[in-house]
Amino acid sequence: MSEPLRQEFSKGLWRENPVLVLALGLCPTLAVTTSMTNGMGMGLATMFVLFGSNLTVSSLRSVIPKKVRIPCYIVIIATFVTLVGMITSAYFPAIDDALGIFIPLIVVNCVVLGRSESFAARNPLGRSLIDALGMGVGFTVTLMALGGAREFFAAGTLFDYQIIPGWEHEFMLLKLAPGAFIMLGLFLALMNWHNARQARRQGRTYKPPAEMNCAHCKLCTGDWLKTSG
Amino acid sequence: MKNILILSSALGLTCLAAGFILTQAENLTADAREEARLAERFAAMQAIFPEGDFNEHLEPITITSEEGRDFLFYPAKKNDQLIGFAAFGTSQEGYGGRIRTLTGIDLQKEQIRKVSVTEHSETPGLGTQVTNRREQKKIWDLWRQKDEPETTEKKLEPNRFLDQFDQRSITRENFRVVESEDALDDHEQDLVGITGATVSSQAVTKAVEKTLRVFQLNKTSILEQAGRGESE
Repeated sequence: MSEPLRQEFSKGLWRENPVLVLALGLCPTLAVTTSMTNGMGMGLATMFVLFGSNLTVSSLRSVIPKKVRIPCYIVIIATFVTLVGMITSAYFPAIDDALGIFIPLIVVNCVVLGRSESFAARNPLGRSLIDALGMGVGFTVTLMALGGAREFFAAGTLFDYQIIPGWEHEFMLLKLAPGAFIMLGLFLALMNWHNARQARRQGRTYKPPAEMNCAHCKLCTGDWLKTSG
Repeated sequence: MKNILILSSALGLTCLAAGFILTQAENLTADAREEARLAERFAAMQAIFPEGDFNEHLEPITITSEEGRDFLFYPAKKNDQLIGFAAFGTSQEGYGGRIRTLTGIDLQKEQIRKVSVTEHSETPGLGTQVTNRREQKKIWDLWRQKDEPETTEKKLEPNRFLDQFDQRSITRENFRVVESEDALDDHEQDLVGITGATVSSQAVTKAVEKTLRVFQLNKTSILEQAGRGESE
């Protein structure tokens, strides 16, 4: 793999991590990270859909008119999600057992739409696929870490395996919604602190990647209609 | 004007293509999905009645309630003797919509044998605490040698909520979901709900309740139909 391509992959893991830096896909992140297993399930299912939607959007990027691109992407993503759901429930009952409940939740995952809009629509096919893999792995690892931390501090288990003997009463706060916010907040603070410290050592101030994260994205404000084309 | 036509036709074409792909996929996978669903249903029934024989080709006895919901009763037999029913009921009141429950009705003891959830779309980690049976695993068991021989039989994993239905009388039709063990009043009637999954707990309880009610109301007809299946 040449150097730029490797960067395309590795940026999703850390520098432009979809959850911790771009703050994308927070809704499923908060909702399903009650355990490490759930985090992994959601991450893998998302990675699969991300790969498919980046593939389609990148190959159709010159055909789809700019002004209707967002509705088109949504249709493409929804189609992929439904297809994945149908195929797993028909032919892979074991996977359906494990991931089936996550698949409908992917439609509301803005990692997929965000990467279509800000990457696949502007880059060639190969780079888009590598971007999907990198972002998918980054998303999965982050969700597993978050789910693992919540599961461990709530019940003393990891991957449903009890690690601390005699932990009988669950600390429910971390398993419920408030715990998700607290844990995600801690993770984000840690990430920002680390990035800021590293930047200071190199003698600059830390700025998140511009025009990439949730705060810079204009998808939900409708501004994309005015600014484009 | 021309621009609008181009834009709407582009979006229309995308939707058309998506619709075409989805209908094709729906048609292609419909049989396989139905088969997988039936296989799952029989596996769940066999787990509740390990000693029972189910005729996989036999149509279930279907009773439609006054709300228009279908309740399916599969007769479980042992040596051609009717021992109970695997009864499927539904509730629409789950957090993610429909929940389908399987209630094992034991005719000899007049008791519920086990309750399982076979279809649901509850939130992973919250509602699934009610609907999914999960193995209790301990990390140190990984290194310990396995004493018990491997069994091919599907064992029913425990579930804090569903296991409370075990051995309750099948003539009960008003269960109550309470918040904690301190609020337990009547041990025949009360079930302790799961924190963070109250809606799912109540939906499952309603589905079981309704199944039992339909069974009691149509008992003679169900027993008669089960007997007829036997003679065929």
